[in-house]
Amino acid sequence: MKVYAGNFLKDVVAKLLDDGYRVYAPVKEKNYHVFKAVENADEVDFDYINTKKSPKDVTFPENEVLIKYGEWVEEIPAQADKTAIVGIRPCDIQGLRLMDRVFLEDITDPYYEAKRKNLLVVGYACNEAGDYCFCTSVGLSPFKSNYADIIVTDLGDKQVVEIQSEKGEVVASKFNLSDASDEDISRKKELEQKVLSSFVRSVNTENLKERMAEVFNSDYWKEVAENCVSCGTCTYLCPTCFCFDIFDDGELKGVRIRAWDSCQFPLHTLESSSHNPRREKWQRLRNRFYDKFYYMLVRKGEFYCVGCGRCIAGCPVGIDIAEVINNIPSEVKQ
Amino acid sequence: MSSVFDEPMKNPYLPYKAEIVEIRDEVKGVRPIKTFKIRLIGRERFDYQSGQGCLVSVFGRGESWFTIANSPTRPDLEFSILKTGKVTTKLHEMEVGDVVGIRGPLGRGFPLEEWKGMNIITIGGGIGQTPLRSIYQYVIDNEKDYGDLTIVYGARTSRDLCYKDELFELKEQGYNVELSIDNQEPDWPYFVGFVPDNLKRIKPDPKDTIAITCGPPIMIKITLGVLKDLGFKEDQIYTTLERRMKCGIGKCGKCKLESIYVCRDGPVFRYDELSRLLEEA
Repeated sequence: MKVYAGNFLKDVVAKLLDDGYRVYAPVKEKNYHVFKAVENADEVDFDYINTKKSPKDVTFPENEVLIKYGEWVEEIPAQADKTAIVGIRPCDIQGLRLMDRVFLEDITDPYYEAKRKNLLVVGYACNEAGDYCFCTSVGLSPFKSNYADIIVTDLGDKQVVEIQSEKGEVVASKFNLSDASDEDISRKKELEQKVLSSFVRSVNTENLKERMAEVFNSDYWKEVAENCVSCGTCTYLCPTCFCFDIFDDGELKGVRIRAWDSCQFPLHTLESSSHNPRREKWQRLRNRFYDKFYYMLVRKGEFYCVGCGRCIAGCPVGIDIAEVINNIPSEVKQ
Repeated sequence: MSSVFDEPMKNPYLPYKAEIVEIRDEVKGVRPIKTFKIRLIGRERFDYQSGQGCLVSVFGRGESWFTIANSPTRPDLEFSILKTGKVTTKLHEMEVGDVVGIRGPLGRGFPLEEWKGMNIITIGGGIGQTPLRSIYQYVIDNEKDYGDLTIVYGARTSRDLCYKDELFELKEQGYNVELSIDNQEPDWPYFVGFVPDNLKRIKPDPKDTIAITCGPPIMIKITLGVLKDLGFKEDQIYTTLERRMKCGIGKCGKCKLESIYVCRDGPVFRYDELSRLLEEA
């Protein structure tokens, strides 16, 4: 464990920009923060709990050209510049890991792979839980993630720098780091205790799969969906929602684009035969909860929820994933 | 599972160039069906299994998934396409020599190797006959490997039956082809009624038999009941599922049925794989 006497995160942004990286870092806009490609380290502001949107668009952009067509098809080479995300929270690092599992396992998605291979991940341990945070309920830690190349903990006057990969080592070697003292280590531990005690929300995941299997056909899901407007804000903000649509833009020549889609939209699954497997909004909303805590658990062996709480913060009608899961009835109401 | 995408591959979103070499009218009227014979340009046709599909590109309109309608033992790729959306409308306007894109073969096909030595009964309705045609052609071309073949097929009217000439010819050659239409028409010599009712009349013996059913969801549902009443076990029954599909490679999530990607894990399923799901497939 190393320490840096100063603001490592800010200095690493400057260094990476000098080295020709495209750097995504948190920028303050109005009263919130978002990840943006920055040109100067002074644009960056690390005083935030988490960003309004997850940085999933760094490897999976909202819109992306797959091929061009005209006389025939032109392949768009899957390539990417050296890119870094600096200041990503542990929940979003888990989001990135879960996205990697979707796009890189089985058949490799070449567009995603190109961006991912060239990505450096500098994580930022949390100093405080947000109002909607519940990462500890889904098995995550707010100050650790082995999946980052480097993870930084802010102690106020200095920052603890944990180097977790060769890629991270190469970058960290350009900084004047010293070994963490016993005092630094105990200050970090104290901070972690403080963070853990700042959580106000939790989700009961005990036997969740079995409990969800029991109540699949319960009217509970209709009640939960009563006020849902199928706007798709939840899936848009979710760091692990990966569904996309593909469409052609241009009649004789043009581009084939993929763009984020949402299982909350009725057209997502509508077939040309007029058959729609999830015609009703309560079926679509139920699908989101089951996908996060049941279907993806069956497919990948882990929850596809990282506990960031963005879907709670963003929902215009107050649907709260933590409450919805906690209130699953123990008996099937018909 | 054999698929071109299990080979070391290039970009799975990049279609092969192909041309339409033959177009046959199957059904005319307001919901027409045409069968397109398509040949890849500049490369050999890939190997595939009955039941697998391809995404056919009409550039400027998009891509649609179609199950391959002919057997891998026969040349080229055939797709029987109902005019119903913007891709299929354009396809119906296309002519021999026109160029399309093909991505495939996609998904999991029927385990025809596993079925060697078994009797095969296909039970189809309407355009659902497409994957079943690939099966019966394959079984006919490998006749010594399989037991008895029975083809049960029906449509609303005689005008809605696909592959009529081929089926009448097979019937003449002595194959067991059981056709039906929903209502009586003049000069219709075969069964009148729904496909599951015809199946009840035929009473296939479940012993050493694999039943494959494909058609409208309601027909599949009733057919499953009839097969179970006849003594078929869930692991003797196969079907294919229809879902909206875009990427075709198990990424985009459109065809997701619980933990299953229909485009990648299916579209072929053994019935016991579906009956254990929460949602009705």
